[in-house]
Amino acid sequence: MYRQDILPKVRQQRLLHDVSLELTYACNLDCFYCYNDRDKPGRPLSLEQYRQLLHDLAQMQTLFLMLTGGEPMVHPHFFEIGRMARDLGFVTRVRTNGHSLGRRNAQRLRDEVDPYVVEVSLHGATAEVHDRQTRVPGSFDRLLNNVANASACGLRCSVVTTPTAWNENQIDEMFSLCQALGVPLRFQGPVAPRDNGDREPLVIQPSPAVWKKVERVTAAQSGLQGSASYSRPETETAAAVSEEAASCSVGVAGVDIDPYGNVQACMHLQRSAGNLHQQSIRDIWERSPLFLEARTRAIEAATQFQQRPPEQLGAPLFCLAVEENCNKGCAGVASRAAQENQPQLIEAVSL
Amino acid sequence: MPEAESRDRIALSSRLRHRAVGDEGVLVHLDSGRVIVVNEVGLFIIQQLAKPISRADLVQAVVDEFEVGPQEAERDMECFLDELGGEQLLAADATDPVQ
Repeated sequence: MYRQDILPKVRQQRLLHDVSLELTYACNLDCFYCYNDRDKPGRPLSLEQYRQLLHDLAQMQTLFLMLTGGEPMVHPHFFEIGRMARDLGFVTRVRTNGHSLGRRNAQRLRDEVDPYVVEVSLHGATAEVHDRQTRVPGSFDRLLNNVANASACGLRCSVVTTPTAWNENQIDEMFSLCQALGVPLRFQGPVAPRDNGDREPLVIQPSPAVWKKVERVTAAQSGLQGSASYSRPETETAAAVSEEAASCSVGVAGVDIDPYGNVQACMHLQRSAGNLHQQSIRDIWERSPLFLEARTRAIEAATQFQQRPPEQLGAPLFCLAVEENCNKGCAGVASRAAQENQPQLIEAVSL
Repeated sequence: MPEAESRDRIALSSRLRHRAVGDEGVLVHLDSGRVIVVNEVGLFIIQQLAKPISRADLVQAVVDEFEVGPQEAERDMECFLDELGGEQLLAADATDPVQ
């Protein structure tokens, strides 16, 4: 019901269901393939502006809120913003590199923000590979300790990794590591150009064969606790015979808001539909033509995969924003109520 | 507040998040990760339960909002509350603050 009925309704009615807040581009790691454009100019949103934004989003019935970055936990008002999100009833995800998730901060995160999930980034199964990617010695050991801390605090953790030329021979080991930690592992990719078009990260693109391996091992691991999953946008794009089937929810159900208040259709589509320093989120969402344009482009892009599987930079998927950045010169428990006035719990599914 | 009256009050679990999507409601239980969909009347009741409320007041609110008699409203509401309870969506102690 949720996926088959509610999500289509969200898209058809253009309800702002899912919002990503890039709180800052600052980070306490220095990942080689980081996609953020740290030279992007702008004036950061104030705490008061975040308060207004979250109130507006709650009124607009936005359900899912992701706090990301950069590294969101280095934002000076991270916990205040997280508390506001909790108090306003959002289902909050925190996407972090885990470097700041020591015992004290993990407990604060649990007590004050109470996120639905904390997604941490893993770049390899050994310190040598992980730290090579983050360019911060000791970050691997610290991450493992911090994930254990976070889990012990009662935080639901999950791990995300991007296959690269540096870690592609550690796929099995990363699975095993996450199973030992008791946390699920999800692969994402491909390695993409930076949002400013810089193609430097592409030099560590993994071999295309790694995706077959990820798929094979993921299938073998499915059902195990702490097992892996694999983001497969192509399962949506492959059947792009209708608006609903096209790509992600870009332009119809979610937005990204950068640290400077720019509202974008997606965090990698670096065009602003409006800025929160000048307009409210409702004004921007309801009036900017950029979202419809992004949606149209996503549908057009998806149609090319009706006859063939998607492929992009060696990975079996397609992302409109990655393509655009590449071309920058860079790069119920019961059935529905029979009577309308009978309260019904229609469906219960797992996220 | 008298103890009996306090016991009669019900509220949503603080582990629940919910929003309206059109006429329906989407509920997410933070611990189980379950996503639950309720219809328009269910959504109305969920919204009433955001703060502790007595069963009698809840029935009256349903009667006032929808074209339904008190007996039918009470019967259907009890069924619905049983389902919510089964999904761990109600506060064990409605005197606790509800987030």
